[in-house]
Amino acid sequence: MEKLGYILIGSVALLWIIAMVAGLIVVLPYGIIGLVILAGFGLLFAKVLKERLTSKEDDYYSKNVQQ
Amino acid sequence: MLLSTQDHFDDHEIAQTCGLVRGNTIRARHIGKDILAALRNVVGGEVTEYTKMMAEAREQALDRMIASAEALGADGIVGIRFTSATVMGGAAEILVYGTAVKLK
Repeated sequence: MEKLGYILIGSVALLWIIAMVAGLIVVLPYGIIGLVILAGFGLLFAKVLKERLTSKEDDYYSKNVQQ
Repeated sequence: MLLSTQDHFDDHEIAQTCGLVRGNTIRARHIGKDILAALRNVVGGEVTEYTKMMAEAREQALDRMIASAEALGADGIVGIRFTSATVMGGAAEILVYGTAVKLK
């Protein structure tokens, strides 16, 4: 049930981002401002996601510590 | 590594004080768990997502303090204290500190 909830929310969030990017492309050249901001957020998100996925210390505490 | 919240060990004598040691961490859970925690806030009961987050932070801070004491060549840590502070929504800091000592 929890995973299904994540999938539904994640799918809608992804569609929202796609719609946002499409809307910004439609209103080019002014949309370039929003696209640059989105690209900035995207790069920062990629950085934190990469750091989390490669952190063995975080994995250790997430998997081995319960309550 | 012996740990105590007392200022001494009942069954060991302190030979030398090595100094202050501490470990801290700030941990957060992913946004899915934050959503679950917010929903638990509606119905009440234990927010298990954050209980686990605090437990992870406590263990990590403790391990870092012990590593700091080992680097000083200590055998134990006395006067251990835990403190907690909210840094941002859905994230918390735990700081643990004590005095590293060598035993006879």
